[in-house]
Amino acid sequence: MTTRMDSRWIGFLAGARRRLFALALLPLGMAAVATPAHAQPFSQPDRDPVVNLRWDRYYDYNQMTAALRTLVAAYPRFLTMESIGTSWEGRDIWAVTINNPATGPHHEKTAFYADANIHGNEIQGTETNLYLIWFLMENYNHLPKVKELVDTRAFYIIPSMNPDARQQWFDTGAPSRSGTRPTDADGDGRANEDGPQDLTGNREVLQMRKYTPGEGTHMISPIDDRLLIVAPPGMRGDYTLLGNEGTDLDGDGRRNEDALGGYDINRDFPGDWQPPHIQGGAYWYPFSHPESRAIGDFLMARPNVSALQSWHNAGGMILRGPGSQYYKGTGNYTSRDNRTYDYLGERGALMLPYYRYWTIWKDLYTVYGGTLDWAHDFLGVVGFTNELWSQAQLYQGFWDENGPIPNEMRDLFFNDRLGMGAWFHEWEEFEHPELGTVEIGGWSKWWGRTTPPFMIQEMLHRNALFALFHADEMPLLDFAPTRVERISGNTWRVTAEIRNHRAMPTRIEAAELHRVGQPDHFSIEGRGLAVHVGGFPSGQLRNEIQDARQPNPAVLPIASGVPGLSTVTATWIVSGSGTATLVYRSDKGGIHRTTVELR
Amino acid sequence: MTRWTQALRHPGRLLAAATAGALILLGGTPSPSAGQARGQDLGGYLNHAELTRALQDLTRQHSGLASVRSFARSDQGRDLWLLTLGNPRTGDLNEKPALLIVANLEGNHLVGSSTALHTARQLLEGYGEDPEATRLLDERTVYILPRMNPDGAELAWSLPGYEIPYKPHRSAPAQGGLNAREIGADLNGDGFITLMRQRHPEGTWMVDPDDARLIRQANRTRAERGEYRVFVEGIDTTQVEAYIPMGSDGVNLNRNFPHDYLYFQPHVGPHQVSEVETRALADFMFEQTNIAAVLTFSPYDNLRSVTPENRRPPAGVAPGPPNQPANLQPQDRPYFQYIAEQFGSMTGLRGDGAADESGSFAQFAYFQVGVPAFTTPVWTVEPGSSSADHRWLQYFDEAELDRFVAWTPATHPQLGEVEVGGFIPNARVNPPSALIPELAAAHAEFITWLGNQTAQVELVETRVTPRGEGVWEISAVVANERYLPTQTQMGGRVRFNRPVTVRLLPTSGMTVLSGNIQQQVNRLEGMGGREHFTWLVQAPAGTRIPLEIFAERAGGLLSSTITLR
Repeated sequence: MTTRMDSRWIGFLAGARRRLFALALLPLGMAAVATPAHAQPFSQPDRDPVVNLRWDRYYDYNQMTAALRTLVAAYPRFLTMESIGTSWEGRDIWAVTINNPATGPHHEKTAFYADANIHGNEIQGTETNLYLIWFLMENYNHLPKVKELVDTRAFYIIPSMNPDARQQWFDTGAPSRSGTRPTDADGDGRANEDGPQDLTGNREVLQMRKYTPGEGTHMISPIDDRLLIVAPPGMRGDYTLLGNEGTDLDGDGRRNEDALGGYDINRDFPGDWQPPHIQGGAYWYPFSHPESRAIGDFLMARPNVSALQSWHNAGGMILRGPGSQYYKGTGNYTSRDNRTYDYLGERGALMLPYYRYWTIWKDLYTVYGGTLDWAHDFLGVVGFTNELWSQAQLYQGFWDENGPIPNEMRDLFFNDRLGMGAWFHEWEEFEHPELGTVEIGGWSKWWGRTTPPFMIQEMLHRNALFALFHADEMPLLDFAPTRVERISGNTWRVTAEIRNHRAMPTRIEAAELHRVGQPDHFSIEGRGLAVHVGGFPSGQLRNEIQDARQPNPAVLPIASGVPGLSTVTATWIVSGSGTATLVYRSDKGGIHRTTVELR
Repeated sequence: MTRWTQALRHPGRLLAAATAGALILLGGTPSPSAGQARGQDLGGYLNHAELTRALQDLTRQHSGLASVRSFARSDQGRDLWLLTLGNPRTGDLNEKPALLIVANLEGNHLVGSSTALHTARQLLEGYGEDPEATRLLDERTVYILPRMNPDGAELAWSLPGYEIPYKPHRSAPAQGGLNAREIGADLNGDGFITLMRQRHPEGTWMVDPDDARLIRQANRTRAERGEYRVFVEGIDTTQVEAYIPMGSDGVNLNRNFPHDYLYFQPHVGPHQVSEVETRALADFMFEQTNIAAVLTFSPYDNLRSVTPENRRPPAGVAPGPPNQPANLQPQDRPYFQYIAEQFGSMTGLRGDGAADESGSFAQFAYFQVGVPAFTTPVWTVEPGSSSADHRWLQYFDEAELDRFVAWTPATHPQLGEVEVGGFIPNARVNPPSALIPELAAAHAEFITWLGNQTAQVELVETRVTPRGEGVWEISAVVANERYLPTQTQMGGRVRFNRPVTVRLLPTSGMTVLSGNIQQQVNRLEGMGGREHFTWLVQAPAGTRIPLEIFAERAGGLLSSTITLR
């Protein structure tokens, strides 16, 4: 049997080991940090990890905080934990910084940022972030690639952006993507006074139905007596659906008309923001919630962040911006930036079966004021939003939307046979103060959006490793050997090349267009050095200089930065002797120096 | 006004010298780098400390009708004062419909601050004398923010030569948040930053044939040839490539609001509502839900000429979706027109204001809060067919005000021989302070009228009709006798405005047979607009049923009781 080698795929899949040029110098002096290599990587499953967290369960806010404290206590050399703000109800929003201080302070390293749970009911991103921290720490001494990542990069991890709604979800199961700030949904001047309730005390808000023989709108499904179907035209059913569990708490004659929440923190960012009458879920103005403001302040203070990941659920997607087709009238980022997104997203889709690499407005729906456009346009950061978990992973393909049996029957089959009934609450009678005898039951909050426990770890691992792929492809710079040629006497041509060993540029085009932060700067310095001209090699033999026409020719702004898997070469003609220092400064690529002797 | 300041800087060098900067080559219209008089008529204007004392004195003198509190604190630690006028003995000031007056978002717009203060004084002194002012303070609340940008305003005293509407950026507070390139330098030592012109073969400017003091761009298509290069008065000390990172320059607070926000442009802030001052004001608009109308004093204007129909958002604004409103809503326009007419007849103010309101507070108040919002520069030059510069010169000549520096030769260390001259900074923004009492009186009349014409929901009738067997029909009629409706059309579109709610409260022994116990209507028209609400209830005779009316921005919560008999 022959192995077919399609050259397109070889190029596409070229991994972390294949580069355009050898990495000559590990930056940031990481070679100095010698750590003995242990025999067993974590992936050999015959040992306990140092921190024995379980990956078949979910963590409420307090359990999450405890897990973070355990990790920080076990790995104090690399992990620090701080509160970057408090939620509406006053819970700490935790940020964990992963950094090896022996290789430099975190703010001088190219950094990766990940947050999660901005939508209160999209919980499992928190566990993904816990796993990401845990995976890096547990494998630092075992897998050289992990060591390289931890030593050369910084990571900022926000395990949960919306701790109030997270706790609310675990405690009552109120299905809200919002935060818990008081809102007046029914416009009667009172806030949150009549929302759904957990009447039966099972930490779930389920459905209510009432047996109304011969007068209802619904009837028992012939497929399964747990299901209701709409009565056919001309017929009356025996059941009336009454919506979510709840009572008329404010006595206004309506039930559940002013629930907790009603806004969307992921419509609260300044990029392409629109008010709530245009973008549902938006609020007063960008950064009007304490949670989004904390994130905004955190990221605006960290220009070294190059890459961003937001964990959401569900549906199995790797989403990228733009969120709106009105974006600059084109519906897309610039083609240069698209190449960076596509490089990461297309490979991510291979790492994440059942996940599709999608552009938000084009493939999902329009979003104004979301995280990704803000990161791209205001911060120059390349970001993805993963919609964790697709039910197709439970059905494994065959049982998809267009499967051979009705979806309801499929769902109950999996509930009965893979869940032993865990995800559907049987209908049970309840004496309702206003409606008399009703039945309460239906699908659990654990069904649909959250990954079933037996599949959680695979979800965490594939997604966290996609994030680490993204982190690995952040710009990684070093100098190629610098050339010095004598023109005459003490006058020299110095040609220096800075190389980017990874796929992401040091500055995306949006940052260049919007003047985000500083451009990169390439400069030459030296005692007594007279710089006559600074520019870039040009001409067929690359031996001419295209003058950069800078007032100070020693300092060349590089507005586009160093492209991914590419280089930037600068040439100066100088007079002087002794040592010259070449410096490349980049907000997102770090500061790099090399020296040459003019002789 | 400052497109020409897009010249750029290199950080790290900008603090080289407070009086030094790179050269700003003018490409467009010369900036109305207007301002204080020669000899600075600032004597009549109040700096932060003086304004603070004036507000404290005023509230002491009228303690029953006026109070002042700190609304927010600026970056440099100055209090933003909120002056509240109204008679608390006739009702809760948080419930009465309120007029909000906002001044000095542009720090150099000192005339706004002074007019706001004088207006407050006139209203308070008119209480008990003038029936309309008395009615206003008895039935309405007036919120006044006389100085929204105290850090920017203070520059008029610390940097008197400059025309800077911005809030200073943290990176260079002493320079008004401007970098060296933007700030210029006083080459001829007259105390002002004006313009420099230099004869040059590449020049694109020419002497204005209609007035030799003025310069304008030569029009090649009319066979005109430029003879001057024109710069802001200054010296280039930076000598590096020009670059200002987004969001790191001084912020024009009146460009920092989210409607038609000019993404990534200079002086709009790092993002919408990024500043402590603008955030406090935006929060106030949503939290103080009795605010029924807004008036700002600012160079922008929609009172002397209503915003045109089919206005297009300017370049730099994200295009937004098709359902994003860019124009006054059709039902609202006639109200804006009528109010503008009233403004014209009361103040006599005519002339042209800056029409471009992108990112302004007034635009935000109307398009995103839904409140009618008006804006006036308080003072400007009369309209005419000639250019605004001509009319200003004419005005200054007639008023014998020395507001233009004649072109005088000077030697520039880099350019060589130049001439320095032009309008004095802020001369076209702030009038001689002697004019302010008169301007304030005219505006006070308009403010009184507008404040009294915001909607007020009143319960005008309740009726109980017995139907026998303990069944009763209850009806309630609410009305709005003022000019404005309870909600603009735009207010009906934005999310946070609540409808007028009329409800019976659940009462022991009462069953509602028909009609929702709580009923809502989105808008009650003005000038006698009425709504009827009816219920059929069953209850024993003599039952007392509480009735509540909630009308945000039109009276708040009203309570009454209906007795079944």
